[in-house]
Amino acid sequence: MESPDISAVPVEALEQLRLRLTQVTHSLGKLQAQLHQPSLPSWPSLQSQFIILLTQLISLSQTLSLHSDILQQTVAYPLPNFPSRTEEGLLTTLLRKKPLPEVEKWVNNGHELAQGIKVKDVEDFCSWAAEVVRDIRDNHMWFGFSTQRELDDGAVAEEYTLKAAEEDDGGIPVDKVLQFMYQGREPSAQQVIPPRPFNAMRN
Amino acid sequence: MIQQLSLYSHLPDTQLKMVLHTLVAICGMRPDDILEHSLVWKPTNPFVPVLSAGQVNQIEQYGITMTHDLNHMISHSRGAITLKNGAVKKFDAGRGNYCESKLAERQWGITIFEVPEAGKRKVVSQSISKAKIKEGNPFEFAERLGYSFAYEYWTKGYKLIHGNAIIRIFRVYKLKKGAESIEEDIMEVDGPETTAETELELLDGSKRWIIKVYINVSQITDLEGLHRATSELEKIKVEVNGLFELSLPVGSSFDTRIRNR
Repeated sequence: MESPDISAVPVEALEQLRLRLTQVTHSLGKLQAQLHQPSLPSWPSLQSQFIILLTQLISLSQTLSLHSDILQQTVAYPLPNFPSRTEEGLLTTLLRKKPLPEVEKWVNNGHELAQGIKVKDVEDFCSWAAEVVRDIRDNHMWFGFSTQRELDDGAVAEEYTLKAAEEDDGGIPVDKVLQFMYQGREPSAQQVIPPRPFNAMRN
Repeated sequence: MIQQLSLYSHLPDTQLKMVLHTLVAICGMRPDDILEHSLVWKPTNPFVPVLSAGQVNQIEQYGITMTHDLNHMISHSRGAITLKNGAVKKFDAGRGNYCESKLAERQWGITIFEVPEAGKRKVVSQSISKAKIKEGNPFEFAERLGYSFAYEYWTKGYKLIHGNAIIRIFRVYKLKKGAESIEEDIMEVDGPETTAETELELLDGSKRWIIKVYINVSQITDLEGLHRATSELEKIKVEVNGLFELSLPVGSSFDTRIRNR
């Protein structure tokens, strides 16, 4: 049997699109998995995942517009030797031009949602964001490590770093302290630093 | 009887300031001070069951903890916290007539701790019976109940509230060795002539702080509540990750049962 002539098939364009689509599918899957975790991942990690997705979408739409001419002109049709009778379902899926009803609904929904949004109102958006940040900030109390006077005098605050309890202070383990509280059993003396007399509990 | 779910951690003294600042920001409140005096009582004549075949003896005796809040005895001046004279009073068991002690007039609460639930768990789950003494002499009550004073300790630190959880950062103090001879009991609280103070020292000379994060659930049968509290504690554990690591101490550390076998 004569092999079909595939010289007219825009392999390059299709292959590039396939690659971009695979990336987007993969990223979407990953984002979905992250959102379904019992504890939500940190905002920065979600944000960066989202940015990756956006970049891939941009690259996808660029590829589409680059090859738009050839893709619009190309017509797909089954070869005569395709078992169209037995594989009818697959054939209709592959050759379908109209989006599936549910996909069409998504698209329309997206259009509707986009109607009310004026992306160009940057100023409004910025002031809205500033207001939200202010609201969130007002819900917390913020303190520095230096007094106002120290700051005015230009004193540099001590360095406070996030060192989880790595630092071994040679202290008594929690278990032993609890044993003292619950059972009156004094922890055996293996303290590195001699106990400091504590008079009148001055802070 | 409440069910208390808890997690524990510790902190070097040098980290306290930073952790407190962070917790203040997370919790949106300034920490409350904790200053408590606790007395532990044990049975004077412990019950020794006779172990024989076919006889089931499930009788357990527990220590009783009495706790008194000393916070109102603190005076704050210029940011420094000073105790009023005579606030820290040791329990003078040797005097025999401790029922007459000035300590007895303070507002005491009684607590009995059950051993934590056994099995592999994510948090410590412990039944606790609590009562406030409204009227009468608590020491006399304990004595009549057949209990006698065993030991005492003081707890000092900070308390913050995060959602339903209470975060306690504290250190345990004990009586300083050799301070026993101070005749503390005859001193008047706030009396002008009092100069001697009961001297305390840190149980842990390294000045390490203990952190306890806990949620009380009113009923052990409230499975939904227990489940919710457990996941809330786990959320906090994730949130404070990097500041301190919350974990479960050995279950036997909480055992207040009287051992006589």
